Amino acid sequence: MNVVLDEMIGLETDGNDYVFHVPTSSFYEVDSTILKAMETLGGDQHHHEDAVVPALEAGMDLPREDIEGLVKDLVGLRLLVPQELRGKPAHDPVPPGEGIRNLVLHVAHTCNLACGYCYAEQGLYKGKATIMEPERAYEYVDWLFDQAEDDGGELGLTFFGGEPLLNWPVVEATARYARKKSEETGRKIRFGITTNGTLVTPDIAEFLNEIGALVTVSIDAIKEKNDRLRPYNSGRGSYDIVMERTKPLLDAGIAVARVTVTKVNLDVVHTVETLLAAGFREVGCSPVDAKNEAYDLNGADYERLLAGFQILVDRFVEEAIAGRKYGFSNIMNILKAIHNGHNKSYPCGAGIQMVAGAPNGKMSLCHRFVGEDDFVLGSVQEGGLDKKKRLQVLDDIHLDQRSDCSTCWARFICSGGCHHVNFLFEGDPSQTYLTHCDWLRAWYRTGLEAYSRILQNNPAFIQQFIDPGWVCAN
Amino acid sequence: MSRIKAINVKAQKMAEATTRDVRGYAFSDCCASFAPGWEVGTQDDSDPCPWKSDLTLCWNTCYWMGQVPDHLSYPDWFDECGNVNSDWRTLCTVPDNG
Repeated sequence: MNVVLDEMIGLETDGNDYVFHVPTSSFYEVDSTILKAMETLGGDQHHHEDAVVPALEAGMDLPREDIEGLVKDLVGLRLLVPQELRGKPAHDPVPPGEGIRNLVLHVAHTCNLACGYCYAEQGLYKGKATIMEPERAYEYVDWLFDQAEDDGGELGLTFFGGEPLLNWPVVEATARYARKKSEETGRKIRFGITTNGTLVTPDIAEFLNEIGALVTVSIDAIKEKNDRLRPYNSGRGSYDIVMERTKPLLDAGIAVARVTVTKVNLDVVHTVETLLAAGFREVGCSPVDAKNEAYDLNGADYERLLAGFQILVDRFVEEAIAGRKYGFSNIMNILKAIHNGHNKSYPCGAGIQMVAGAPNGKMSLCHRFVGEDDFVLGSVQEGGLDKKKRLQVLDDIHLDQRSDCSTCWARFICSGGCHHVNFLFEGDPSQTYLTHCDWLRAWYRTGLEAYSRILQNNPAFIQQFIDPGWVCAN
Repeated sequence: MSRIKAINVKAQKMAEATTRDVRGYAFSDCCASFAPGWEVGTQDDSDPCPWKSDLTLCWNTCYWMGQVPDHLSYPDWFDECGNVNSDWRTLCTVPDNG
């Protein structure tokens, strides 16, 4: 049998060496002996299994017994594998679960803002302005509770639009209905809402706080830049009114901010700092994908964005070492993924654990695919999801279908990227949109460095904020 | 394993596994296909299992008991079976001693 070192990437942080094992997303700190052994065996060089120990004996100044132990460790950790298994994932294919746990409810296909980059075309989703009737919303809730397996896991209901607060009576009534259903069935449900913040009132804030909703407020920058990106239909800016009206949410500590990053608002450090200081619990940034040159980022823009992210990550690490959490969502998310060793064949739960429900009763792969007939997976009035259609779509967008990803070290983390971005730019969700790739790999490397620095200096932070059940082995 | 330290949850799980990851080694051959054979392969790609489809040899030589009982624990398993093709029904079910 021939063996070979499995796919890995190495990095050095503060004088310590690490390797990240691609097929399992395992992360190891290694000493110079391991690095030397890896160098001696060569990256993708094949060796007969009986030739490994002699090769290391010849290349390293170590007793045979130690070398045998070292090889045993590499084999045990799956870092040295039979050649045919190199790069193969150790995880099982993600089974498309029978039940959907998270429903994104499009309660309003209309919006009072006119953001130029909006993928939903100001909330219309290729249709006419419409709002969801309460009966339809109750049907969706009944369906959610009926079809999801009862294994003790939480259900999730997110109110979405357009602007969901344009249909506030239905949001409120549906949340009450779902809460009652939760009490009757004993199944837990959590609520979320994504809003532009312009229509929040103290009563709305109080209700959202009462039901424990996580409120995501879309806001892109500070003052003028935000106003340029997120104007009302009249052209008037929205920043001041959003900051004024979301105050009760900020006081209650239930609001996070979502920043869509475009060419216009690349100064993310200033935006994140200012919004955190204003009272948002966390701030997350996401590059826009509008297929519009006025907004979409190019190579130099991504470099600038990454430089801004690096400043925020350094701040995050500094605070983490001091035992405090800095609310930069992007790094929190990636630290959780690295800590748990996320390793998957789909980039997100779309179609697997989550679907979106439109006002007309049609259910789509995710909220971004609403209005695209090819990605309708069923209808809430007509028996729920079409099993065959769902499996066919999930098969089509599986990582194995993406030949462009087959040699990328980040493939089991990114899994080919957002289905909708791929669809928008490539016309097919199974074709990876490669513009993001360099940026994503650099960003993930930044995350690995941050994780190792925090673990080296204050492992208790990981235990406290990333994984409360985890016991540090250091 | 002092030279290499598992630092995230996934790495710790890998380190806690006492032996080779059998599932990881097995999926490319007999475990998935239900064809008796050595799941790792001993002769490179040309013939991953020299005893493929030969149940007797597989039973006697394969260390992994996923497909057939291991020879040491169940030395009598094959005794009543003169010919696998015709007498396979005489192969007994391995008792669950667990």
